[in-house]
Amino acid sequence: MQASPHPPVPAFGHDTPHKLLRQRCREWAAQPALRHKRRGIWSSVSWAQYYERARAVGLALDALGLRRGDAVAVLSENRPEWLYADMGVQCMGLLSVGIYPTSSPQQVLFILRDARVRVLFVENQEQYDKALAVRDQCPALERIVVTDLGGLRGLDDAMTIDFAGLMAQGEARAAREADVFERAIDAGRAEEIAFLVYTSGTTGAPKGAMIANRNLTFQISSVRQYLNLDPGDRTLSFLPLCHIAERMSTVFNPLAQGQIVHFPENAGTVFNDVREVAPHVIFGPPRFWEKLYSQVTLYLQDAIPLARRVYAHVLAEGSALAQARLDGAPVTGWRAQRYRMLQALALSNLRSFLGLQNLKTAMTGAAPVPPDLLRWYMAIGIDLLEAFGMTETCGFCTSMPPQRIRIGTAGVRCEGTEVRLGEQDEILVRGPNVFAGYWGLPEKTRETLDAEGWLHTGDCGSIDAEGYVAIRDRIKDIIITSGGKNITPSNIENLIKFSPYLSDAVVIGEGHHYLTCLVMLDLDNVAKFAQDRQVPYTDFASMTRAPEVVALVRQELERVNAKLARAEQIKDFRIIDQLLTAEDEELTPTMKLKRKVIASKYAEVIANMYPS
Amino acid sequence: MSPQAPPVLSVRNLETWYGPVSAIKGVNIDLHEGRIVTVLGANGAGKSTLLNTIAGVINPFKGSVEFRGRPIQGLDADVVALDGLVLVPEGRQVFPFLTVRENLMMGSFARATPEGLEDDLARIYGWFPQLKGREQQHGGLLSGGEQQMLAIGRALMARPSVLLLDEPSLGLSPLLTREIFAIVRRINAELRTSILVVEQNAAIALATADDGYIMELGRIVAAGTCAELMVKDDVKEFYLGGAGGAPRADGRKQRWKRRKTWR
Repeated sequence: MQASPHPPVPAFGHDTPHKLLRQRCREWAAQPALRHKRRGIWSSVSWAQYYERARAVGLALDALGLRRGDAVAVLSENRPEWLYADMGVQCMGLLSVGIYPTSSPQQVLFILRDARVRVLFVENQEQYDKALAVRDQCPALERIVVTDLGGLRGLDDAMTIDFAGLMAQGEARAAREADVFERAIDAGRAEEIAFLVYTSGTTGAPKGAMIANRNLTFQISSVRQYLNLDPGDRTLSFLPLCHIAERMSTVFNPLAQGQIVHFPENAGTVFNDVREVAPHVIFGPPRFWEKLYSQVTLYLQDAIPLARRVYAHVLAEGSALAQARLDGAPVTGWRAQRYRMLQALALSNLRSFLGLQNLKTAMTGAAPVPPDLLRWYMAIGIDLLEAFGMTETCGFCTSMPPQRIRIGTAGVRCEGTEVRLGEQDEILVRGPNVFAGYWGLPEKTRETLDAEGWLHTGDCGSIDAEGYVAIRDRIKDIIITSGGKNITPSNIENLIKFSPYLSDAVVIGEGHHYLTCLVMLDLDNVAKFAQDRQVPYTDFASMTRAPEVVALVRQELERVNAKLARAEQIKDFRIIDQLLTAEDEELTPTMKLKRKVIASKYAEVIANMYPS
Repeated sequence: MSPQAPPVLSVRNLETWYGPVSAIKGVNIDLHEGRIVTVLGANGAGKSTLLNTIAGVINPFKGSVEFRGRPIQGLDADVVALDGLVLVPEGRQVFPFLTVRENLMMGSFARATPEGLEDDLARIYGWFPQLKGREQQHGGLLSGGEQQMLAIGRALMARPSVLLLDEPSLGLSPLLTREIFAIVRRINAELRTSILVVEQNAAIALATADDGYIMELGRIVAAGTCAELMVKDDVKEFYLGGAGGAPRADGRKQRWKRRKTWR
C-alpha cells in the first residue's frame, strides 16, 4: 500500500464511520433513520432500531464463525435489510461486498469467487436462483441468507437461512453478550478495509476497489462542502447501492447530517416515489435529470396555448437571469423580484408535479452532463450542481460550489485533497479520499496508484486558475480519425443525449475519416411521437425502422451537428433495434451504453456506415 | 406475412379513448385475404376496444381502418356489417327469447334476396350439429358453448368476407374451446373467410391462426407469424405459461418475472 502524505481525517471525532454510527444511533435514537413502503404505506425505522438490527446481523455472523476480514456479500435491490446487513458486517470488521441485483449468475459467480465470500445475503427468489446456479463453484461460500421468502416458504436447505431467523439468533445473542459487537466496533481502525466496490468492468473482468474506513471518515467530514441539509430532511435511495455514489448518500452522508433515507417501492416507481417523498436532496445521474426534463417538455406540447406561452416566457426570463448569474453579474432589484413572482406563479406547480418543491440541493455526476440540461434547470430555479468522482475516490473528489457555478466544469476539488494534471492532461488526485487499491490485483493497483500516492483517474481535462476542474473524456475513449483529428466522443454524445427522443449514443470513428454513431431510442418518448404523428409501427424493431422515426433521429442529429466543428459532425447513424435492459451486457447497471461491447456487437452495422 | 396483395383489412394508428382514458394508443394491424390473424393480450389490453372500433361500435379518436382499400372508420356498425365485416361480440349476445333458427335468420336480415338462405342454414347446421337438434328452442336456453356456436353461425348468415371474433373461448371448457377453434379453422378453409380473432387463450389462438399480434396497455408490442411468436421467450413465459425456461430443481413455482423485451 502506498504511503499517502495525507493523514486520515476523523469524522466528528471518530476514526471509523462505525463508531460514528453508534454515537448517532444513541443521540438520535427515537428519530427516524429509514423509511420504506410496505403494502403501500410508508413505515419508519428509528436510528435505535437500525442499530439493533445491524447488531443482530453482526452478532449472528460472528456466531457463524466469521472473523475480521472475511467477506460477506449482499445481492439485493435497495431496501432497509441491505443496510442492516452492510452495517452489521462492517461494524464486525468483516468485509462487505455489494453485488448489482441486475447481475447475471456468471457475474455473481465471479465476485463470490474473487472476494472469497463466505456468507451471501440475497433479496428474494430471483436472486436466490442465481446463488443456487453457481454455489457449487464457490468453495468459500457457507451460508445464503434470504430476505424475502416469497415462493420459498418451508425451504429446507442446509446452506440457507432466512433473514428473520438470522436476526432472531442475533437478537438472542445481543441480550446476553452485546459487548461482542461493541468491542468489534472499538477494534476498528482507520486503515481497515470497510467494503469492496466492484467496478462495472466495461473492459475485462470487474475489479474490486477497496474502500478503507479513512476514505469514509474523510468523505463524511467533507459532506458540508456540497450538501446543506438538516436532520429530518428527506432523501430517496434509488440508484444501485453497490454504486459508490448511492452508497455514500444512503449509508454514510446521513451520519453527518441526519437525513431520513427513503426506499422506493421498486425500480419502476422511482418517479412516483420522488413525487411522494418530495426529497430535500437528489443525486441523480444525468439520465435521471434528462428524463424529468423530457417529461416536462413533452407534457407541455399537450398543454393549452396559454400555459405554453407562460412557460416559454418564464423560461426565457429565467435563462437570461441564470446567464447573468453565470457571468458573475447577478440581476437584482425589480427584475429579479418580478421573476421570483413569476416563478411562484408558474413554476411552483411544475416543481410540485415533479416532486422537487422541497429540493435544497440537486446534484449530478457519474457520467458526462449536457450543459444545456444544467442551463434548463437553472432557468426553472433549480441549481443542478455537477460533481466529479469515481469509485476510486470513494465518491466525489470535485464538486460545484453552490454560490459560484461554472457550467462546463465539475467544480473545485474537495478541501484537504490535491488535484493536478499528469501526462496527456490526465487528472490526478491525492488525498484521504483515495482508495486503498484493487482487491488481489497489486499490478493493477500500481497502474492506478503511483508511488507518491497519486490516483490516475484515466480522465483527461483541464484545471483553470481558480481551480475549476473540467473533464474532457476518458483518455482511452478519445477517437483519432484517419485525418489525425483528436475527438472526444463524450462531448458529442452529451449533446445527442439531450434530445428527449434519444436516451444514449455511442460515437464511432477511430481510424475512419468521418464520425458516425449508434443511438438508443427513448421508448416512451418516441412511442408518443409515433402516436402523435400517426406513424405506423408494431413492435420496437419496426418502430426503429419507421421512416418518420429515422427522419426524427436525423433531424435531432443535425441539430447537434450545427453546434459542432466540421470534423466532429456525425455523418451517418444507425438506431439500435432492440429494447435493452440493465441485464443486457450492452448496458451498465446505470443504463449507459458500453462503448466496447457496442463496437464489437454491432461491428457489422458499423462497417456498413463506412462503405469502402 | 404475405406482403404481395394489399391487406383486406388494414388498421393504421388507431386511437380510441373512453373520456379521458386512452384505451388503444396507435395500433397497426394488417389482415390479408384468407388468413387468420389473432390479437393476444391480458385483460384491459384494449383488444375488445380494438375490435369494437374496427366494427364501428365505437368511433376512433384518430387513425384509420381500411376495408378493401376503403376507409370505414367512424361508420356505423350496420353499414360496416352490410359491407361484409361482421363482429361476433364478446359474451355471445344471442337473442334469448328468439329460437335458434330465428337467431340465425337475424344474421341474414340485411340480405337483399332470400337466395341461398337454406343452403347457408344447412351449412351452418353441418358445422354445428348441436344447433340443428335445438332449432326450435330459445337461444337463452342453450349452453355457453352452443350460444357461442349460435353467435358465430348468426354472423356467418350475413356472408361476411371478414369475421371479427371477440374471445370465442370466454367461459368455455378446454374441450369446447378446441372444438370452436377447429370450426373457426374449417370456416376459414372452406369459405376463405378472413378472420381476426382476439383471445386471451394464447396457446389455442397461436396454434390456430397464421399471424399474431401481442397487445399490452393499448399498444402492439410484438408482431409476427404465429410460428415466430411461439418461439419468443417472452411469449412462452408470459402467454404460454412456461415459467422461465427449465423447471426449477426444487419443484417450486417461480415468483419472479423477467423483464419483457419481446426479442
